[in-house]
Amino acid sequence: MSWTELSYIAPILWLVAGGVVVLLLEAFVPRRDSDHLSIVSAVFLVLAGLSANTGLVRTSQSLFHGVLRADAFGSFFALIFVIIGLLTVSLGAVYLRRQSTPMPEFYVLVLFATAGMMLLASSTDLVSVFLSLELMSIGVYVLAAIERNSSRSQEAGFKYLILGAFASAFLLYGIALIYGTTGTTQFEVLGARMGGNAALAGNLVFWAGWGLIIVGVGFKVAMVPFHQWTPDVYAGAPAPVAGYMAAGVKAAAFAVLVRLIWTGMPLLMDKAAPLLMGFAIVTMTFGNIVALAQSNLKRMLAYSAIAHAGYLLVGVLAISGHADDAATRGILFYLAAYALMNIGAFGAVTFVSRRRGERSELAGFAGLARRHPWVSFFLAVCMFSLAGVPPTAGFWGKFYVFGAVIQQGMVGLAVIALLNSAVAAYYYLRVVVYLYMREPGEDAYIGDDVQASAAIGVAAILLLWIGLFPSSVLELARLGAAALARTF
Amino acid sequence: MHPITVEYLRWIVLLPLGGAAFLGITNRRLPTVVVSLVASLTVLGSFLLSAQAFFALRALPTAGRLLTDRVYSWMPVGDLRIDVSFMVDPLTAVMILFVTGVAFLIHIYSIGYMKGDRGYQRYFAYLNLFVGMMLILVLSDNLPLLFVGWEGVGLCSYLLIGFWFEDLANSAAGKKAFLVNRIGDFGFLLGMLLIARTLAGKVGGENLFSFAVMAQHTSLLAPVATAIGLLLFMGATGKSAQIPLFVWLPDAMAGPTPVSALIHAATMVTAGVYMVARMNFLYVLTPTAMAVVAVIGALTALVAATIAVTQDDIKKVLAYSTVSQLGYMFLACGVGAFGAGIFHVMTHAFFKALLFMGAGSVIHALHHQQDMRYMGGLRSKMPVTFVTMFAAMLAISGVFPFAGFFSKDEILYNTFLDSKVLWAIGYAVAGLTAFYMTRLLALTFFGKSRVDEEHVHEVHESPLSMTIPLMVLGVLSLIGGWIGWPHFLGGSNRFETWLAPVFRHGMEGEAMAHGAENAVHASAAAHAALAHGAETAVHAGGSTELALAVASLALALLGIAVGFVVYLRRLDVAEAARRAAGGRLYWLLKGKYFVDEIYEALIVRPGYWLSDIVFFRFTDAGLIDGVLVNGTARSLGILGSVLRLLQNGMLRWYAYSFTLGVLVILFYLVRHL
Repeated sequence: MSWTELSYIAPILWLVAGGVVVLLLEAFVPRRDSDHLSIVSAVFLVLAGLSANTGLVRTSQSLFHGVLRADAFGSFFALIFVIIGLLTVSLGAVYLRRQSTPMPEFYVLVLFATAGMMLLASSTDLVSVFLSLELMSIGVYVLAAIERNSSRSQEAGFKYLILGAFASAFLLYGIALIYGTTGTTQFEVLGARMGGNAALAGNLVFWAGWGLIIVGVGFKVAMVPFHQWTPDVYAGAPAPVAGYMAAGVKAAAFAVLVRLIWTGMPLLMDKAAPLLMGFAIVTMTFGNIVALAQSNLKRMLAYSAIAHAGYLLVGVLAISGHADDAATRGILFYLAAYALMNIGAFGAVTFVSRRRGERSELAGFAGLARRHPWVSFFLAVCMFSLAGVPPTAGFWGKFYVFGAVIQQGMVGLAVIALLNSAVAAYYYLRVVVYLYMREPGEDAYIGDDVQASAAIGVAAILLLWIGLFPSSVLELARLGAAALARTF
Repeated sequence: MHPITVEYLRWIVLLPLGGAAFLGITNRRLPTVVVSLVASLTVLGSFLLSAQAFFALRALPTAGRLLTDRVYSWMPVGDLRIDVSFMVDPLTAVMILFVTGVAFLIHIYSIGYMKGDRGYQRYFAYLNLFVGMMLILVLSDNLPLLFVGWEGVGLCSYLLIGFWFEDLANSAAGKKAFLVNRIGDFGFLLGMLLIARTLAGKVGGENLFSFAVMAQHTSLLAPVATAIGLLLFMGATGKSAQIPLFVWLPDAMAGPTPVSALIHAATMVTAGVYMVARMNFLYVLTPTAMAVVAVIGALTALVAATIAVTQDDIKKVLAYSTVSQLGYMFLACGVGAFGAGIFHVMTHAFFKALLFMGAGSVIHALHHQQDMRYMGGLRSKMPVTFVTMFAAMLAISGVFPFAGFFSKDEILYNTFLDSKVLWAIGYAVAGLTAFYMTRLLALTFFGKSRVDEEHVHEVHESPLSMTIPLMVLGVLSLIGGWIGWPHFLGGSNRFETWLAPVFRHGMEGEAMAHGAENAVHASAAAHAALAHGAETAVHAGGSTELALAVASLALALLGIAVGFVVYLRRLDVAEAARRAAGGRLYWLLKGKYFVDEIYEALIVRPGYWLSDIVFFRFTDAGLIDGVLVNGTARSLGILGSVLRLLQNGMLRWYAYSFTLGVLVILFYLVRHL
C-alpha cells in the first residue's frame, strides 16, 4: 500500500471520513435538528466528487494487488454516485425535518453506502466485489427501515435484508465455486485463465459458479425472477431512500456486471447470452405490464425500475468486447440519466409528503400543475425522460443502448425493447396527464418545501441539459468504456 | 475562403427564445408593461443583431460572404455529426432582416390589439417562440436543425391559431393546421432520410446534412435528386400552403389577427419558399421537380385567387390571397428564378403584414365583425388604416412604383422566358389579384356604411401602437421594392446581385435550360460575379421585360378600375356575375372548390373511422383499457390474479420464486454444457 494507491481511492476515503465525522458530530454535538449534518455530508460528497475528477485520466491502474482498479470507468461511476448522494442528502434533509425524532444516522448511512457503491464500481476481485456489495447493502437495508414508527418502512427494510442475505449467500457460493475451479478471484487472472483453458468451458461447477454470481447481481438490479423485493421495498422505504436505491444500487450493480462480462469475454458471453436474453425480455416485459396497472407512483416506479433493468440487460448483451464498445458507452450514459430521473421522480413524492405518512397515490397528483407549476414541470421532465422522449437525457440513453444492440445485429431484441418502451410511455405519460389535465380532487397533494423542489429541479434541469448537450456526458462514458478495453 | 466566425449569431435566436422561456415560465405573474417590453425588445434585439450581421456581410468581398457560428456538436452518432450551427449568407441575411423587422412591428401592434386579453402573457410567449423558431429555421446551416425550426413553427402555429381555445372551432383550426403540416413534414423527413442514405459513408465524417457539404456533393445527389426534391417540396406544400395541402391556411385566421399577420408574412409560410431556395443546388439538378414546383405554384396562385374573389370574410380574402401569392413565389423558384422568389417573399411580407394588421384594425374597431358585407364607408373614420391599406393594395396589385410591382414583374418575366403557359396563368392571376383587392377595399372603406346601428358611432381609429406599425409597413410597401429596381428601368437590381452568390447553381441550371443567349448571361453572372455580368445581359431581355411590365401594369390598373366600378357603382354587374352559368361558378368558388369537403370524405372520415373503431374502441378501449389496465387493476383477470399471487408480500413466496430462478439458470447451464 502506498500513498499513490491511496490517492487513487481518495473519493472513497473522503466519504468514509465524512461518515466518521458526521457520526462523531452527532455523538458529541447533539442538536435537535440535523440540518447542519446534511451540510457536512454534502461537503464531503463534494470533496469526493472533486477528487474523483482527477481520476478521469487516461490510465488504468491496478491497486492493492489487483483488488481494485483506478480507471475512467470507476471515476465515471464515482461522479454519478456523488451526484446521487448530494441529491439524496438534500431530499433526506427535507424528509428528516418532518420526523418527530431526529435520525442523523441517515447521513452516515448514505455516506458509507455511497462509499460501498464506489468500491463496487472499482472492484476487480470477487472478494472485494462481495465486501463492497455488503458495505453498500447493509447501509441501504438500514436506510430502508429508518422510519422506526412506520411499520411499512420496517417491513421494507426487513424484507430487503432477508432476501438480500439470501442473494448474498448465492453470490458467495458462486464465488467459492469459481475459486475452486480456477484458483483465483481476481478478474484479470480469471479472464486469462478462461481465455486459454478448454477444460473450463466444459466444467459444470465453474459455470454453476457464474450462474450463482449472476443470481447475486441480478437480485441487486431487480432482474425477474429475483425482483420481488423491489415493489415492496420501494413502496415501504421513505421516498429519498427509495430514490437512492433505484439510482445508486442499480448503477453500482450494473457497473460490476459490466466489468464481469468484460472480464469473461468472449467465453462467458457465448455461454450466457441466450440465458441473459431470456431474462432481459422477461424482465422488461414483466416490469412494464405490471407497471401499467399501478395507481401508486412509488410502486409504479418500482416496476419501472424492473423494466429499466431489462433494457440495461439488453445493452449488456450487446457488449462486444471491442475497443470503443458502443454498448458499454450506452450503458454508462443510460445509468447516469436513469439515476437523475429516478431521484427526481421520488423527490416529487418527498415534496408532497407530510409529517405523518408518505403521499404517493397517483390520484393525489391530479392538478398539481395548478399549485406547483415548477415541481410539476420537473416531474414531467423526469417522466418524459423515463419514457425516453427527446429532448431529455432518457432519450439518448435508450438511443445509444438500442443503437448498440442493432449494431450487434440483434434487431429482434431491439424491436422487443422498443415495443416495451412504447408500452411504458403509457404509464409515464399518465402521470403527466394527472399533473396537467386532471381536476384536483378533495385530497389533492400540496407541498411547500423549497429545498425539495430545488433538488428535483436540479435533476430535471440536468436531464434537459444532457438531453440538449449529450456529447459531454457521452465523452465521459466513452472514456469509461475505453478504460475497460484499455484503449484510450 | 474561410467563413468568418461571429458569435452573436446565436443571440439572434436566443433572444426571442429566452423571451419565450421567461414569459412562459412566469405566466400570468408579470405586469402587462413588463410582458410587452420583454417580448418586443427581445425581437428588436434580434433585429439589430441581424442588421449588424447584414452590414458585416456587406463589408466582405462578394465571394466570401459567409458568417458562421458553430454553437456545439448536437448529435454525435457514429460517423454522423449534426451541429447546432448557424450561418448568415446573403439569402439568410435577407430572411432574418425582414423576419425580425416585420415580427417586431407585429409585436408592437399586438400590444394594442391584445390589450386586456386574459392570455396576454401566454400570447407573447408563443409569439416570441414563433419568431425564435423561424430564426432557427433560416439561420441553420444544416437540414436537421432547419427541421427543428420547421417543426417549431408548426407547433407555434398550432398554439397560436388555437389561442382562443375555449371556442371549439378555433382549436379545431389549430389542429387542422398541425395535422395538415404533419403530412408535409412526413415528406420532408423522408427526403432528409434519402439524403442521408445517399451520402452516408461517402462524405466521410463530415456533417453530411450541412448545406455546404451537400452543395459540394451534388454529383452524388444527382441520381436521386428528383425524389429528394419532390419529397422536400411535399414538406413545402404543407408549410407554405400549396396544392394539395393549402387547406389549413384559410382556417388559420381563427387565431388573433396579428398572428395571422405573423404567419402570413414573416414566419411559417415563407419557410417552404426559403427551403426550396436554400436547396437550389439540388433543385437545379432535376428539371422534373422544378417543373412540378412551377406548375403547382401557378395552379395554386390561380385557384386561390379565384376563391378570393368570392369570399365575404375580410380575413378569408387575405388568407387566399396569401396562398395565391405564395404560388407566385414557388412559380419563381420552379422556373429557376430563386432570387425573384425570395424578393417576392420579402415584399409580400411588407404588404401582407400590413393588410392583415389593417384588417385587424378594422375588425378591432367594429367589435370583431369580419364580414365585409357589414362594413363600408370606413374611409373617413379610420384614415390611417385606410391610407396604409390602400398602399398595400397598390403594392399587392403590382402598381408601379409600389413594392409588389418589382418582385411580381421579375417573377413574370422569368416565367415568360421559361413557359408561356405558366406566364399566362401568372398574368391572369395578377389581374384577379388587383380585382379582389380592390373589392376588399371598396367594400370596407368606400360606399355607404353597412355597419350595424349599435356600433356605427363607436367606430374610431385604432391606438398609436397599432397605427405606427401600419405606417411603417405602408412606407415599406411603397419603397421596399426599390432595392430591386430593374435594369430596364435604369436601376441596377441590387437585390438580385446581392443574392447571386447563393444562387449561382440556380443560374447555371437556368443557363442549361435556356440556351446560349441566356447562358452567357447567367454563367457570367455566376462566375464573374456579378454586377457586371448582369448588366451586359440586360440589353438582351430589356425590351421584352419592359413590354411585359407595361402589360402587367395595365392589367393591374384595369383590375383596380373594374373593381371600383363594379363595387361602388354597378353592384348589379357583380350580381349578374354571380348568377352567370346558372350560379354554378359562383357556387363552386364560394365553396372554395369544396376541397375541404373532398378531403373530409376521402381522408378525414375514413381516418376518423379507423381511429375510432380500430384504434380507439378495439385497441385502446378494448385491448388496453379492457384487458390490460382494467383487467389487472379491477377485475383481477387472468393476468392480474397470477401477478397478485406472485406479489403477495409473503417473503417465503419470494424466496421460492427466487430459488426457481436459480434452478432455471442451473438447468440451462447443464443443458448447454
